[in-house]
Amino acid sequence: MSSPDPTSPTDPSPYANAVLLDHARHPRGRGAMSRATHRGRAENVLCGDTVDVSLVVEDDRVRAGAFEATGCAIVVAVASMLVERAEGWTVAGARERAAAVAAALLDGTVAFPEGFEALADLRALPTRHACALLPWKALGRAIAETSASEDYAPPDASGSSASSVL
Amino acid sequence: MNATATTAKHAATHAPLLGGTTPFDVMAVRRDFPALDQLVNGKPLVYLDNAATGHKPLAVLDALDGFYRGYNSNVHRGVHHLSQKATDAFEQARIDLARFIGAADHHELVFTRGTTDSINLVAHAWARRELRPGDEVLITALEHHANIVPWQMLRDERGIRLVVAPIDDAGAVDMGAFEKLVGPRTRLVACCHTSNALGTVNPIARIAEIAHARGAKLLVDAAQAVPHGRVDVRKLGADFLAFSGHKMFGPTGIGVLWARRELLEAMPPHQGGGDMILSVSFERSTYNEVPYRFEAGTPHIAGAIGLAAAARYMESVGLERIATYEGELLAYATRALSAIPEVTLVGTAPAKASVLSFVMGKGIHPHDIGSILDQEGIAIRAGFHCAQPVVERLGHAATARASLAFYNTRAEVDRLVGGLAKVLEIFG
Repeated sequence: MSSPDPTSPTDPSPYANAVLLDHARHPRGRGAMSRATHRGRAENVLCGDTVDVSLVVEDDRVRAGAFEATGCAIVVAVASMLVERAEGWTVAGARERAAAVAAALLDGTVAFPEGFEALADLRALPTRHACALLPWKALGRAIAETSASEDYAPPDASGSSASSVL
Repeated sequence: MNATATTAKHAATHAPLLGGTTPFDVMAVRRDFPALDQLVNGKPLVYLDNAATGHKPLAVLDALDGFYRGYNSNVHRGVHHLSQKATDAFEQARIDLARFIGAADHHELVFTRGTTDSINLVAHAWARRELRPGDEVLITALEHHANIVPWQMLRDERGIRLVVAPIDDAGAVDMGAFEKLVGPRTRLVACCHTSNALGTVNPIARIAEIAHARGAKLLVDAAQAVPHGRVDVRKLGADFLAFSGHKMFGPTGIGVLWARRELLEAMPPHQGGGDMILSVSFERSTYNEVPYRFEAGTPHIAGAIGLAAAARYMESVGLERIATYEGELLAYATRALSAIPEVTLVGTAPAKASVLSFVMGKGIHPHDIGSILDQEGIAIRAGFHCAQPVVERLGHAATARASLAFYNTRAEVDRLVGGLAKVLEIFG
């Protein structure tokens, strides 16, 4: 065979990751939340995937979260993990975790926030980073300051295609 | 080796294939395409994304390399030997491609950047001048965005009406409805020969009859037609025809607009600059004759030469043999995918090219299908394929699409079926 294969055949697959699969097949927190104090929506215009995150925020802390999503298994899995873990986060802590996830996807030396280690299996699939970040973007919009122009966008270190959809 | 000798060498390799009774030697064809021979994620590549772009045969690679290595020069204005060679090769490419699509006159063939560029050229240089507010452009619900957005822009800018002929649930144009929609104000019918999202092949000759009977011109988007067999502009009855090089195993960044000579003669240029003029002063410039009037600036010379090499390569394999082989492969693949209960084919028109769009199970997302197949070395496409209206019309946000070329094999279809079994293991 010619040409070296740049992707290693031993790269872990997110579809073989038990945690991601579990959340994809049995998502937690999926549904409407009428008592939400904060809501945010994010859409990937390239594929039409949409995530709505609803939160109850009191005294600067997330008390409860739910999501609705039309999208691929990665979008659903990450949204499920996010709303399951978000209880107890401060608003600033939520933003920090979102930034950390975006950085960790691109940089193997950066750790994922606690509870999101399974996302490491997405590092080798850059075309799916936008999927993994979509729920975080919706979260960011939910807890954005009231000004509409202050749209939270996770930092994009490489200028890769992930940034064009966020 | 110059371009013609290279093609002759490759034609000689395929000479045993010519003639009606010799079986199609797909393994010999595959040896002409070096990119097919590689591992992806540790597995032999199965490339089923040909509707997005096709791989390039050695004849094309040699033509590109031969130009840049041997006789690279600018065309049309030079006085030295290499520039004459480059000009000759560029204009020979025009002649070869005119023959490839059955055009009577190579002055009817304009080199563009691709199908999108060609359609925009018609919108700007013909339609914008010819059409009045209230005139109608009729397209179909199958169209790629390249054959929708330019007409929307014209609608917003000039007040023309954009009318859309519906399709049925199998993805075929409703010809009864289409005929009713061609009215006294219809000035242009613009439709695809073959749908990139569904594979539907339209009855172009019949569409041309209807359009012409009502005094409308016909533009054919042939991007997905030229990779699959013979396209003859005169038999189709087209007035304009557009296609891209990269989808027919030629380079990217090059394409063709063919148009009837009398239409081109009456069209003002859409871009100004060098080569499209006869003389320039600050007071006025005079425009060049057709087709050069529409080729401002230095063209993609290598692209045109490479595209002609792709056309000659396909002719050496045999356009009818390609169409026959693909028809058999499509039947095999359709049977194989239809046999999987969780797979629903999207686009089941009676006349189809070798494109299979499908969805799986209860909401298995096409992106997940695509990623899991990618890990098996299989390349398909997921999404709405730059044809959002048609995908949504058939009730989906996205589909998975496998699109076959004449270098794909039954064994590769079997690998696809195996990959889909893996998808069902994970999500079933």
